[in-house]
Amino acid sequence: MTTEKPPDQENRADSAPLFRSHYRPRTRTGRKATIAFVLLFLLAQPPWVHGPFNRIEPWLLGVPFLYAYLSVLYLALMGVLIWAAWRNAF
Amino acid sequence: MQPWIISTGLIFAYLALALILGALANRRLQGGLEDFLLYGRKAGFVMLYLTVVATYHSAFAFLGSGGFFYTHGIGFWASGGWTVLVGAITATLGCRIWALGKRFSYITPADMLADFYESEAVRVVTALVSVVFTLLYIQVQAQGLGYILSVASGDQIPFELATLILLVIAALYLMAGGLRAVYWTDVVQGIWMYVAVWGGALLLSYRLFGGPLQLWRRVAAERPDLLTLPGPEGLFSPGMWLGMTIVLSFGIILQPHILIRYYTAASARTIKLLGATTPLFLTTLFMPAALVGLGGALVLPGLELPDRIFPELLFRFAPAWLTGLILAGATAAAMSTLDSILHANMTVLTRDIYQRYWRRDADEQHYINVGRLIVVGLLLIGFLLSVSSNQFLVILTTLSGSGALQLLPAVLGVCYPSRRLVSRWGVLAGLATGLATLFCTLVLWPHPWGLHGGVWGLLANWTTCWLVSARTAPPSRATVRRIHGELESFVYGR
Repeated sequence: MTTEKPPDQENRADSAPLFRSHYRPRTRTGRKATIAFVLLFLLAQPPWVHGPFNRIEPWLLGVPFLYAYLSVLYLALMGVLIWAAWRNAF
Repeated sequence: MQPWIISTGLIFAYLALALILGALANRRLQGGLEDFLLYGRKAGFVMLYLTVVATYHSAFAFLGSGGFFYTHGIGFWASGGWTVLVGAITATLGCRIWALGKRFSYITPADMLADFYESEAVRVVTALVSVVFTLLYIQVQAQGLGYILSVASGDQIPFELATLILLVIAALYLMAGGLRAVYWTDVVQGIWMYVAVWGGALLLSYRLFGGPLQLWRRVAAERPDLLTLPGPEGLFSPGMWLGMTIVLSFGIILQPHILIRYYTAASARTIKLLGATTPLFLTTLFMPAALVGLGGALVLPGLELPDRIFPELLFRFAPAWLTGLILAGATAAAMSTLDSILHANMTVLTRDIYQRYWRRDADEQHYINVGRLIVVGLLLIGFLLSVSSNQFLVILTTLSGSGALQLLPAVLGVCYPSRRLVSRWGVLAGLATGLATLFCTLVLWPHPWGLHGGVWGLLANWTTCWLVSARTAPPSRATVRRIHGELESFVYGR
């Protein structure tokens, strides 16, 4: 004879999770790609862009510093994505 | 011949091409809802690439971005970040959505959420959120189209008529050829818009300043406030930068017209490659927009509608034939998104509401015809919205993205197995809280403490979702095993 559990008990974990978390990459390439992407992405966010890199000078390749700084980061991020796809890290 | 006739004529020539493609697509229809709504799930890499980039970039990119650089300066280069993030989301989340869609024959976003959360209430709420917030995005395109044609014609064609003409044409080829017509026109539109925006920006920068590098130097000398944060009007504070990054990446991806595209890919490899390479197009399209907006701020200061800066500069400083070609590219940008939104909303309303609750057992041709009627209704709503206000295109897009963003906890709960499962009540409570918070933080007290209202909504949504999910029943083990098991197998081969 089975007894139905109330909904709040069903959610507790004798209902142990069926699968491990997919939020953490399980392969080495996946971990490298994730860390590289996240670090580069954070450098393109506040407080960096509003703080030390929020400037016009020095000019880099003929464009203002902040614009050049972000452009380089965005290109690097694209590089990480392409590398990750090539290494089948997704 | 008057310049406005040449430039307007070229735009109409482009529109004729779009109608021809729609008619050809109609002839190739293979019958059936899956062909009309999802291109038979056979979109190869090149076609999917161009349709995704053309759909993502719209009047917002062509006009709105120039207008935002014009008014708020270099802060809009945050757009590079959110477009790169779109690529990452596509490669990871998009791939999982594709896998589930293929395995379980999903057609709409609500199909996926209703299946996992075992809830018709989730289906209905998802469908309504998807449709309501993309109506604002229809307004963005309609408004943009109105600007383009009215400026190109030297205001010979008034804004309202211009909007209506272009809306009708987009609706016609969509109704004729379904998603096939949308994809075929997107291929042309994607290429045309990219070439047009780069060509136009470079032409203007050379003609007005002697080149892009000289343009940057002039801006630094005359308007240095445009080259640092938070910009002349203080908009790009840290909270707004972060908020727009989240809203305009996740929020746009979760709108049905992008999410449905993931279902249409021919293979997982197509989606992964798509995610890795679409930023090359999406991000670099904002570079010429910066030249247009920043240069325009020096040449035409005090413009009443900054979103018109690109067509205004072209009309004054470029030959008429080139203005026409470039503005046809702008038209392409707006129509490529508009037709996708109309198609997606048609799909959602037909499948998730009409077919489910009104008439279950009709034949597929009936649903296709109902879809066509829905397109007419959406067109009317879009037209009325566009003529009733003229808010910044970027602001409307951000509002639209903020609403769709509220689906993120639910979507992640399906696509990312984790130790804590999200429940249907968690989803519903989270959505309700998120949307109520959105109303408070976008309308009543906009962007409290400088953080974008969409992010506040998401925080409230997620917190509620977690708390309620912890106290309510998750999906059944059978469903979790079926759907999360499919993902485990797809991603890790187990």
